[in-house]
Amino acid sequence: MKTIKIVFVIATLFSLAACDELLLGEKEENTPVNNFEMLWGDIDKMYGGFAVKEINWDSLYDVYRPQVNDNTSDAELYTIFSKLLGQLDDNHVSLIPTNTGFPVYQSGIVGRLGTFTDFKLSSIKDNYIDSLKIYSGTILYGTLKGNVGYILLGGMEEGIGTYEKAFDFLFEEFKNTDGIIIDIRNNPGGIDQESVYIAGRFATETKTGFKFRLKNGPEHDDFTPFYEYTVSPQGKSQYTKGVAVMTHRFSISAAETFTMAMSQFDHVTIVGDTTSGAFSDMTSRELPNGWVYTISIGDWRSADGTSYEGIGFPPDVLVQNDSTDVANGRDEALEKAIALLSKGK
Amino acid sequence: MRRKYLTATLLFFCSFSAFAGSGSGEKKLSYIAIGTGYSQFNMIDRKVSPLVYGSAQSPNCLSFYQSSERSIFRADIDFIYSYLSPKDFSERSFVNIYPNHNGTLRELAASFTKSSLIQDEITIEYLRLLKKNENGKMNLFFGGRFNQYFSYASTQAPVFVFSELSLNPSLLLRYRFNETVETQTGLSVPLLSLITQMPYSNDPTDGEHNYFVSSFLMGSHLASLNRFQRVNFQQSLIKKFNHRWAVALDYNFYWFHYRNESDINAYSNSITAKVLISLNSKK
Repeated sequence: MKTIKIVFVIATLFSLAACDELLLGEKEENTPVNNFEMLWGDIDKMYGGFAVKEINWDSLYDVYRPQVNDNTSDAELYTIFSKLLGQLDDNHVSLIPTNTGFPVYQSGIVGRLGTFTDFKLSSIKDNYIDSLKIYSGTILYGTLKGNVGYILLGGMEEGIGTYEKAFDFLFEEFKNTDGIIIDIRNNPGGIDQESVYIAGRFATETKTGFKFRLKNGPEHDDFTPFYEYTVSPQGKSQYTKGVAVMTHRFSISAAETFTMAMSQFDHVTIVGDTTSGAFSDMTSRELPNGWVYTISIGDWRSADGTSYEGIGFPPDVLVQNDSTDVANGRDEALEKAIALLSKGK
Repeated sequence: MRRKYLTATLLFFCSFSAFAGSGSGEKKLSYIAIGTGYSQFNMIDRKVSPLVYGSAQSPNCLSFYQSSERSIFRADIDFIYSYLSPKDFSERSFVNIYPNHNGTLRELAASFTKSSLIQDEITIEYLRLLKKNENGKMNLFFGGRFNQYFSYASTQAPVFVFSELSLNPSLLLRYRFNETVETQTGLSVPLLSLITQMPYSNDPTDGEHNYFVSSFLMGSHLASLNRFQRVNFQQSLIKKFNHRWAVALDYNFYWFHYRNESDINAYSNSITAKVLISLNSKK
């Protein structure tokens, strides 16, 4: 009988303990108005780019808040949210409207351009390289005309261990070349620690690669002190002959911090188009309706303290490929990079 | 390798056994226990999401337990690997867009699936007899407890991180029905805690350390009852079969609330069945 009582008490406790509202607090209302308030309010407290982009977030509230009421449909809300997030003009800002059938909204130049016509890997494969080999899913390589090594990095998140082995192998492969091209066009980025490691494989000395600070409070100017990413020679060897880093508008995030870090070294030349302009780390957040959005949460600067957020890192040699040329298999930016590295011959 | 870890764990518990039994001549009963069961875990971490996340789990535990008429010593390790998803949105689909190299876009359907949840809890507790009733069946113990708790879920949307190191006063009521059956009811609350969450930016990056280390460096705060409230409740029914074997059925409940820039609330209730193996000789 006592055992039955104990089981009964346990069962009662179990069911009492299942009261979410009592134990977890009040749930956020899933209404269009509250979804708007949460999106606007969270970005107000978390977004790191208001100051450098000179965005008046309060005035955008006055524009968009009146457009939302409790009868606003999902389609209307998606449109309003997209317009609001579009004002941030930030490739790290996106909206994932789950369970609606609407496509992911992408802010920034990547969203505006949609896609690119200034780079086609097949034209390199067909017209410029003897054989484009695969080292791993995002690392391709080969030797170009003019005795120049070619490495295409399709991302920056294979892991430092993978990059260490990859560059040991690639430097051995390219030890007799006159220079190396690192192609980070169509590179969506990854992890800064890894981009800094890769830059370290080309470092001749220790230098500040770039600086950053993170949001640490709700006011627009609440930031941590600046931290630094230092680039120092990494791995068992470094490549210190001529290097060209090829960029364009779809070189994004960690691909851009890689570009900033590489630009610190005299033997490196940045060739191509301006990068995307999305340097900061980002975070994901959710809304009561289950939609997910991403935002930048910091302020990333070059070593000299300049912010290129929303602008993009400019190349040393600006070459914007013509879409007709690219469609016909010509890559003018690549030709320029080859010419630069072959110049010394 | 696995055997080495097992040996090290047993030695760890035996060292506690020696510590707990030192300087005392009274008869102590020592047990090693292993168990598994079912638990429900629910949480809301307003730092990253307004959604309530829930998980049904199968906790695994390993315990060392030593008791005498005057004291109880206990060390527990609980480990959970499970899945977590928002309670109101068990599946969320979306349409992603990717650029093609030829200047066109392609749309791909995708979905947020359940996310991995890793939790562990290490408890070390020592209690002394405070009071017992006339027939000796009911004993009230009071003592202290060290608690280490870690919970990590990396969903495809937000990342939840919560870690607690705390010192807790604790009470335990033991009632012996007869020579072979007893219950224990335990209650503890943390008075001083070191809490780690993701930093304000939800980005534990300092340019120097890996994410794990920088999370602790950037997101740790000392907290007392004003910021961190937690209640641990345990109800245990123990049946001894002979000098070597016993079984236990435990109900565990904890609830906590951490007040920071954004609050986190969580609770778990679980039932665990344990097998206890005595470390004492028959005499």
